[in-house]
Amino acid sequence: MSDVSNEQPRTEPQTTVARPVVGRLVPGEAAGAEPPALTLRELSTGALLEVGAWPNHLEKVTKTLSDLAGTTLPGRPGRFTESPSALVCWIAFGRFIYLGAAAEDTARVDGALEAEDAAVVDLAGARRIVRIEGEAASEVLNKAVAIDFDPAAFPAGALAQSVIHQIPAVILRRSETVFDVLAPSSLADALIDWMTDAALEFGYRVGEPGAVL
Amino acid sequence: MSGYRLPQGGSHLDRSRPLAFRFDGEPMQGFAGDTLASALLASGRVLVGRSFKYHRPRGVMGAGPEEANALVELRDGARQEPNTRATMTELYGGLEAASQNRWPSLSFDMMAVNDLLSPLFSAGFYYKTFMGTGQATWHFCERFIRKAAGLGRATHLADPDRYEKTNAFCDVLVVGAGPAGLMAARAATAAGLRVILADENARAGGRLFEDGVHLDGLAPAEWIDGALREIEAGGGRILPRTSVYGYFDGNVLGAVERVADHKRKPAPFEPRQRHWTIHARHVVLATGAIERPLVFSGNDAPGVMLASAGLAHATRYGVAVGASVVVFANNDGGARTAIQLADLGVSIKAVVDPRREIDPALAAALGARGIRLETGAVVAATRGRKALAGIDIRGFDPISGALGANVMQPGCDALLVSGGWTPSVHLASQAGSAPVFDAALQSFVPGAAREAWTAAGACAGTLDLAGCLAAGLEAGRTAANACGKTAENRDISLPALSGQLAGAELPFPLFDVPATGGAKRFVDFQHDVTADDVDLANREGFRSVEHLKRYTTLGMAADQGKTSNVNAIALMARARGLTAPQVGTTRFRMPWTAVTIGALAGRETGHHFAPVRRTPLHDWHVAKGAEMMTAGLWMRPRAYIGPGETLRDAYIREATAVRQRVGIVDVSTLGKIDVQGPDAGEFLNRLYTGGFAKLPVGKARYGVMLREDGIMFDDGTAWRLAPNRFLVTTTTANAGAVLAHMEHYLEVVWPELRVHVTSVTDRFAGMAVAGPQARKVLQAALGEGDVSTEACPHMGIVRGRIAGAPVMIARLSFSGELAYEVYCDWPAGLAVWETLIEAGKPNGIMPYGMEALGTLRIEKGHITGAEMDGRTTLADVGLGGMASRKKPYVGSTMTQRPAFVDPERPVLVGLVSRDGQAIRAGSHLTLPGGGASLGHVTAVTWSPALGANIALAFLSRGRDRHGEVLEAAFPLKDERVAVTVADPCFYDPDGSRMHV
Repeated sequence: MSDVSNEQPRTEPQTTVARPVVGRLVPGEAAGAEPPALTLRELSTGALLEVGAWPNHLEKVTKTLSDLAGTTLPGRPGRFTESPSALVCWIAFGRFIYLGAAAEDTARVDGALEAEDAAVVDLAGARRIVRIEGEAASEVLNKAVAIDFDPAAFPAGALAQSVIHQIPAVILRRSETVFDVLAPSSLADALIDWMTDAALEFGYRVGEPGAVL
Repeated sequence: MSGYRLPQGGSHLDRSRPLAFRFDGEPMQGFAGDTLASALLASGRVLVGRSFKYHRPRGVMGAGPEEANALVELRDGARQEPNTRATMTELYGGLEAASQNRWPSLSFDMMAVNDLLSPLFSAGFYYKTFMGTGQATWHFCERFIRKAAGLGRATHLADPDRYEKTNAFCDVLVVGAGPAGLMAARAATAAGLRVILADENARAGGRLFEDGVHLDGLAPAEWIDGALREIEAGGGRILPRTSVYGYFDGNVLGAVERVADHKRKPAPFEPRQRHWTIHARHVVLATGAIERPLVFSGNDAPGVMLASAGLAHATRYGVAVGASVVVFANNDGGARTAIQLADLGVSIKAVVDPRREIDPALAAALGARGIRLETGAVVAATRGRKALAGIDIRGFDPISGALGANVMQPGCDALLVSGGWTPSVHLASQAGSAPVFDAALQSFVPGAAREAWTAAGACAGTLDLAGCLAAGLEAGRTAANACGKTAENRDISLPALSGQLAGAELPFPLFDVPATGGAKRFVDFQHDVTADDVDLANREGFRSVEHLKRYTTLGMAADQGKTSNVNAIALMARARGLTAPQVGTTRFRMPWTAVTIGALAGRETGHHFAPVRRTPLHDWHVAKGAEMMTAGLWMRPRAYIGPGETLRDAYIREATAVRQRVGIVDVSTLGKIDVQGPDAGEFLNRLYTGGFAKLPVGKARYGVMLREDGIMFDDGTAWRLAPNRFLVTTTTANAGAVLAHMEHYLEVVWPELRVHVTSVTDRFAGMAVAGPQARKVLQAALGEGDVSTEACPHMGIVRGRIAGAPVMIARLSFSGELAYEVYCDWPAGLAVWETLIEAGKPNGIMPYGMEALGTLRIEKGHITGAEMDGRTTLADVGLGGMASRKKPYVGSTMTQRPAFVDPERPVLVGLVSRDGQAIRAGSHLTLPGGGASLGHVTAVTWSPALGANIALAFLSRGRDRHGEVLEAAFPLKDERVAVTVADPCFYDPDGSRMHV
């Protein structure tokens, strides 16, 4: 513990670096250059799970996840596919993030996968999702991440795990001009703080909160 | 009379837009398109600065990034920027510039006395003067030297501008938008590649404006604009005002775009500069060449400049650099420049050329314009101190190098000099082998490429325009081939050139003219390094180019030897009787041009320096008056300081509440890891020093992990939630490191274990309820669940609901009191916390912060990072009993190392201040009266429970010393505190308070 040598009653206004008001998206607000070229909004999801398949059960797990999501899984890590009810990210070898439209999907996925097949972790409250939308969206992200966002190199359906301003993030390209960024809940305000500042030169408005699916 | 604006001309100039600016406070006028340098020259300003060391008067010498003399302070207030090249500064209305390195004024500079004292300031001045004089002399002189040193003054005010950093990707990066670069970019674009074309100038075209030709029947400006449109239409990105300053591994290049430096201030939200990290598959280096000065007596007089600069000022900005101009060149370019300038209306008096004869056609053209040609002659000296007044022309024997006896002394106010061309090989050198000497150019060209680049045009030693265009096209095709495009790149053809075509202007190998009189002959203008300094370095043994550079400061700093490097090598070669390639060349390093700190920092300044990590209770803490403190990226409440309270009052109140009633603390920051899989128990059993394989479901256990070397790594608890599932908690600081540690063992050491580890730190909000009333409060808050002793014994885990949210509760204690850790979903954290506070009100529940938490744990002798400092073992902290003897674990084989079982080893003890004085963390423990250190203090506090100042410490043979009196010495503050050594567990040593 640090020394406690502060014996003086505090008289000056408190100067903490807490800044509680920074890093919040207030729908309807706009800032930066005009007219705003970007829209930022926060998205919610019913379920968010991480699934780690054991190597020799990968095929079975992908099949189960496909069935649960109602879509064919992407052919390789670094891609995601979606149906109206679920979005499955293949984030690394044997590792998936399952985003379900319904909260009940957490139990469905957990129940469908045996302990002998995969580890399943509920991360629903552990991530927040920010959508950045507009022609300049990739330019904003490129300020932090060294990813080639050319549509030929990183098309819609591509994802990347990267770091934005020290914040671990999963970036999903939903379309040419729409990116969804998953960040740890404790750092989501900081991500929004970074993103709103980075977006100032293009101008942004804050959209109504939405759903991932 | 000196420089003036020509009545017409100026490809870059918009004469319909006059701009007012000030230099040293004097109002002046230029036009849109001017540089500060061209506007000063057009205004007749000759003297623009004072030199670095000798404070000699200096004028503009160049027209681009090579400028070494005209360095000015731009702007004022917080935007003041020193050492800015006037030749690269675009004029804007209201520009404020000031000369630098002079006092009291530019024309009367007291410090010019340095020039008279120059014998004292030869190369190696500091080494010679202060070596052996002792520290006192240096410290006395230092303040004066520091005051005199440097050029401009940096502001101490915070930079008000925004800077951005970004990444860009391309197939082909073309550096330089001169003729070669434009052709390369056209070819690569036509091949369907993604192209970035970067040029440090505001306008593309390079020296095309000075070549005096038409391309496909178009004037240079039209052809250039057409090429740029074509590149942009093909998807290429043009980056003007962008200096590619560094070439890094993996074909990654650094560039700085001067987004708003040409404006008075950036537009709202516009960055002043943008740093580009460019990832290119192939790079075309079309960085051009810089004209070399010649070394002769007084060659730094204001009014002496590069011939190419004189021509550029006339063609681009419609400026005659003098009313009476002489050209001194060792190549045909001198005569050509004279002819072009004369045709533009500049009064050229003579051309001086050391060669016995020049191209007869050029000689005739000079004669036709009334320009006197002096062949077999050199400019041996200049006259005029603050402005060139005239020159000494002397005969020159090209064989012997001797000067003739006769002296001609014509008057002139500008002398244009050309010693040949020096390819700008800096980027190629950064990403390649050593540059290679080219005898025809008398200079260096790029060596073999070590990254994927192709050099083209003047950068590669091709000096004629047709050759540059062809080389650029070829380089573009080479780049396309390298990117796998071969078929499509046939669309581009070379432009047809018309007009007077210059050949390659190869120099006669003359670098310097023998000294006449006492005047200095400068090699490096920016650092005031003379030919004599190079000779001195040779005589004193600093002969390699690298030693020469460091001994004399030649080619250092922002200049990077652009105009000085080749001349210095030539002089050193002659002094040593070697050829230039035998002397070697500097291997250039970044940056090509100066990079502002702002561009490197980007937006990571102030409160954006690092992200803030918040628990879900963050706003609650702040609203309740908590003083927040950082813990890594996290913010945690230090104490909730009430009105009129000191921090000390607050934490004593909080800690006392925990001991007497009940307190609650936010522990959401603890690292949490989901360890899952059929082998999870086995995995933890191998990582922790204690046994975990048989931990029953529904129980938690305290565990310590060691590093491979047997030193303590981290501690925490593991909760067995299911047979194949654990929740592991770590210290806040080590959460990431423990996860990485686990992943390392799973992926590298024990890949056969079926275990997945996932960070769930942000999954669960955590709060510890501690104190004699903890159970009562918790039970009252629980909607569902039972925390009775029977249902939830010590280290037991139960599930329940608070505020409708599912919670997991483990009975764990860090404070030594009856305590529970309550975990819930992150988003439910605030509701659960507020419900607990509400339920605790009848019992006087009090939130507590890190200070109270620290006090409570010190009273109990519990360890944290201060004790697990990378040097301590389990036995050192008194946890030797946790080292299982029944199984191996990571680090176990190292625990019996001789040093770890040394009886002298410092071990954890408690200290109690004997006279009430506070003990300082970091103090060393000595015998009363002093002596060698026996150990050190890790943590201190005032203990409300004991009513004493206490501390934890590591003390040699500490367990044998309980009861001894020692001193805790803190020499930096000259403090000595008498302490009694005690057991580290000061409070409730039998643990009865938490077992209730």
